[in-house]
Amino acid sequence: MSFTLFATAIISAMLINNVILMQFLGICPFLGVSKKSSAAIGMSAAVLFVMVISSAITYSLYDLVLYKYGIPYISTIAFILVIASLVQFVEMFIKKTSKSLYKSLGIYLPLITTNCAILGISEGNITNIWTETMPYWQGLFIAVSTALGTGLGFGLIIFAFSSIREKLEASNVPDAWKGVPISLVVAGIMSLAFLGLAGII
Amino acid sequence: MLVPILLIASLVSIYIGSYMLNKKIPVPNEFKDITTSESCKTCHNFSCAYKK
Repeated sequence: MSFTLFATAIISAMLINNVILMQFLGICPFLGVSKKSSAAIGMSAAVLFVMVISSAITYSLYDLVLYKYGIPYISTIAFILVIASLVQFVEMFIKKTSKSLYKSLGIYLPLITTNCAILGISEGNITNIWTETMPYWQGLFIAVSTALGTGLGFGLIIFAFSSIREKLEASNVPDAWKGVPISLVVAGIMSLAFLGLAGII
Repeated sequence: MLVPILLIASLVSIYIGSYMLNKKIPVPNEFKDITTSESCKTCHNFSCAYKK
């Protein structure tokens, strides 16, 4: 559980295997909640928060229950239920305890239940990280680090994209390109730019 | 065969319980107006606490 392992997992998940631009997960909030930077920041924070907690829970559930009892085939449905319940609990907790946090995250929490990036990372942790021989704590550490990097990568992209969209609103874009078409072109160019980071690790 | 059924049943009951509990807790008054936010227009989530 060294710092190198942690840094590699973070950089790899954040820049190289970016969840939006490389894995094409979480496209719905990427396009839907990126019209304003403030909304993008709130959504990113909520995704990061839930992604880290859900990764820890789903990895533990798989390693300690599903694999142990020989029922890994129900992992997808179990993970969906875990994520949906977790979002409800997190919303409830924040509603009761912190009004400031609720103001910034509250409205985005229900959206996360249907965010496929959360489920994708939970499944990815099992497919790419988990092995029979890997010690539980080491796997959990890598899974949580990857989730942290993925959440940060999600935030980076959605914030950059929202800033570009705000700028585009004030630009002289031809009528046929206004709105979604120019946004998709921008997303494609961003994806190509991030492809250039593929060799840094 | 019994273990997966029990596991799924327990997870479903946890979800239903958390959903009911969350619905019972009212949204603080000062945040009720955030439903006018444009973010709400793109979401069709049935479990959203803001849905009127």
